[in-house]
Amino acid sequence: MTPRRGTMTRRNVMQGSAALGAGFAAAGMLGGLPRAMAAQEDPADGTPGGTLRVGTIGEPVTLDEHTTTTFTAELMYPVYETLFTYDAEYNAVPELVDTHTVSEDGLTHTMTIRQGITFHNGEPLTAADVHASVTRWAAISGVGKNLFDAVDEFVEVDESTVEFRLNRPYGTILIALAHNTQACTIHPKSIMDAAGETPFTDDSMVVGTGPYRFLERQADAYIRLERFDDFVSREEPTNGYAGAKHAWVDMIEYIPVPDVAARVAGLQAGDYHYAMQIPNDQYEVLSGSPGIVANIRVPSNFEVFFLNWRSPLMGNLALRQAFQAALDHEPILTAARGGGDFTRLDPGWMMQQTAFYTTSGDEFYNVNDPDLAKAKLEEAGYDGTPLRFMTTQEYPSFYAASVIAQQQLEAVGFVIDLQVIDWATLLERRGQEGEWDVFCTSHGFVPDPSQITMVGQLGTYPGWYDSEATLELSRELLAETDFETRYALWEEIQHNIYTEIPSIKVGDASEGSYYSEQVGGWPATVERGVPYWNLWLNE
Amino acid sequence: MLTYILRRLVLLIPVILIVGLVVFTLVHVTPGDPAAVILGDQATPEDVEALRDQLGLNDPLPVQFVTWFTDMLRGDFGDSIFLGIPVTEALLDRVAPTGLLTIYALIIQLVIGVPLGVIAALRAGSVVDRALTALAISGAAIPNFFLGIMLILLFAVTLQWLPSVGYVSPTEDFSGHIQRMIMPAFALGFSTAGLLARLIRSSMLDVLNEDYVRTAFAKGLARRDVVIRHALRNALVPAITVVGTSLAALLGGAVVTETVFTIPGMGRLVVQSISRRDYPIIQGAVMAIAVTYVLVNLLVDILYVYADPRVRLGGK
Repeated sequence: MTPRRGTMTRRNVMQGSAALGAGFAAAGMLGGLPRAMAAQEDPADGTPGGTLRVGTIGEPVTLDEHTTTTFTAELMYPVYETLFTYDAEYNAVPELVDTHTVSEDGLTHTMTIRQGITFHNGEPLTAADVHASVTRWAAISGVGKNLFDAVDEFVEVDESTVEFRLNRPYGTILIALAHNTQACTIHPKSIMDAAGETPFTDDSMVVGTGPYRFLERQADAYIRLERFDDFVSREEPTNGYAGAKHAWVDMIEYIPVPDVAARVAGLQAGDYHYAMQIPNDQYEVLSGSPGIVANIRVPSNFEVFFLNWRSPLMGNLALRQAFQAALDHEPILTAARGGGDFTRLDPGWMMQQTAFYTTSGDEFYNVNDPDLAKAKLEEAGYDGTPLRFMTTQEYPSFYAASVIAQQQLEAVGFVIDLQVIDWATLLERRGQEGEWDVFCTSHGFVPDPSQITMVGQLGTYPGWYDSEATLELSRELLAETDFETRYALWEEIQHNIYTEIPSIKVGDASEGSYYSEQVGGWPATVERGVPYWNLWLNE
Repeated sequence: MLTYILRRLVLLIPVILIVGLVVFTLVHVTPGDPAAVILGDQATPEDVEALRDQLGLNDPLPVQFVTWFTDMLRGDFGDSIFLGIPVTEALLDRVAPTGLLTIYALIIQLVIGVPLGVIAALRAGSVVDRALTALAISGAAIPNFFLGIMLILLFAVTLQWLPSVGYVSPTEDFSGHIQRMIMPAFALGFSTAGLLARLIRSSMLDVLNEDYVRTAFAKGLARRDVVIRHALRNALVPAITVVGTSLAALLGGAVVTETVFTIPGMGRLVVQSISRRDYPIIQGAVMAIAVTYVLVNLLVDILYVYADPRVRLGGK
């Protein structure tokens, strides 16, 4: 599918992504896809019973969603709920909220909470719990802090109503409350008070309102969730992560299997029904394995090289331009993600399935012009000081992308000091301005441009992209409520990303979904994690 | 002998102090911090700093060391940052899987290694000897994670005889326990079995050429009696050292094997704690492993006395 240009409305983008899906199906070229399509049964038509077993990438760092941006979100999705959530088109729609009204001036958001909801510990859900949860989340998470900059008062109006009183309009308030990374999950006030701002210290604090409750865990062996009998589902039909939640299986068991080969083998052996994060080079093997459904997802993330604006080298625009011009993205993408149907070159930081997709700035994407790169190096007066390029082998795609980029950069005259370090070290070191010039990470699919780390975090994300022009546009983007205006702002911001160069997006990448044929109700919407609550097991 | 054992136990104290100081320093000078790991990729440096404060990681290092060390001497290793439970509890939970895995691997090592070594020595130079040597070397050469994956592919995926991963405690379900432990124990024991077989072979060859063996044969003892009672018993003395030190290798190998087979043991806990910078666990586990290692060595020394009555402990 060719990138489209210019302004577009949400509607025609959605038609575009529908056409994308239809194109895949019609072509029938993607191994297991037709089977996957057949598996998209009505989630209301499942079979109750059984234990759904999931091979995960390892032990989560914490089960406290407020304190982490890691994959805890996907594991705890069946346990915790939020005020709003995403539907299949990534609109923020109510989950625990019953009604939501906004005052004329856009400054007062009044939300009533659904009645009759009980937490897993038996306490009823009230506005006090919502108040305590949102307040804690806002104190810890970056998204929450940004939102609360615009909040004058957040009050508990009565037992079932809360109100956000803003000091300026904030267009992304619902998206902020719906987002599922470091999500604003709702917990009992008693637990929020006990936890303070530190991560949960006790498993008895793992309490939410979702269709499954936390049962038990043995670190490195399993985490077990069981169906919560007092769960009250929304009545609307299932739509993405929103609407009815059916809780077909009796129990969900997560088994941490950090070794990829063992994770693949366990899936083949039938030891679990679904395995998370299987590398794309396993697709050929698994799509031919009996009893396993393999399909390629819609692209949902991309590798990024972040450049340090506060380092003497990368603080220099001409040098950043040389970096940008030197890279040929196709071999980088192929090395990192396997190429073929799993990757696509695309300049859009907002991916094609979102309403904010734009190719603005694409003349500076995948430039691959060594002569230009050399000229820019000359212009920058580059003296051969090594560029400290941090990467890690813990995520093989980051390492592969970095190694190929290193070769391309060295070919035009950069001297690269590739620092291969473990992920924990990289996370720490990238926070120190003087320690690095470039680091590689990936960025997941996000529904709203305010959720792009270096945009929404307003110059504080490592790399410190704080050009005045873009900060101003980003602030407007956060505040503005009208879609057309926000789209225009985002186009301008993406253009700036390509001309000011805080980072380089490599290209879109997909993952495969690999699961047992026994699994029923596999959803179409999985970009932000698999909603396990609507899956069932066929016998 | 008792005084010797007591003296060795007293020597543990400086070992604990030195290991403690070294591990604490190493862990804390290694870059990377748990707050950044908990928050993950999308957090800002300010968020990380705030969490560091919450977790008490910003206190001066000497203060942290003194607190940790004095607590440790009282038996309190602190709480895991990630698991939210005391370190001793976390380690005790893991002792059984790792201990059992190591014992099974040791049994497999002995069951394979000793007979192979003896047979190879008795048939030295023959085709059987060469085949056994090749097997022994391949055992030592194949990394145990690779062997583990191959076993999983054969027995769990293709033949579907055994579950691929997981751990069940023997008190809960003994046959399930054995089913899940047999592949990891074999993967782990096979590599050291090769080394043991090589060693037994060469020391058996030495012993078989000794005068007393010739005498035993000459006085008309059955071949089996000579080999087992006279030759093997003496050939075992050097083997005990190897078995003792291979226990350390097995504990080290358990780190990898536990990861491949998803066994919630000490090795896996340590590796994971290192990658997450769970300082209290790393420190506690390294201390526990160091003490175990010292005690195993002591045990090996004591066993010498039984294997070879000429050995006298205590230097008198």
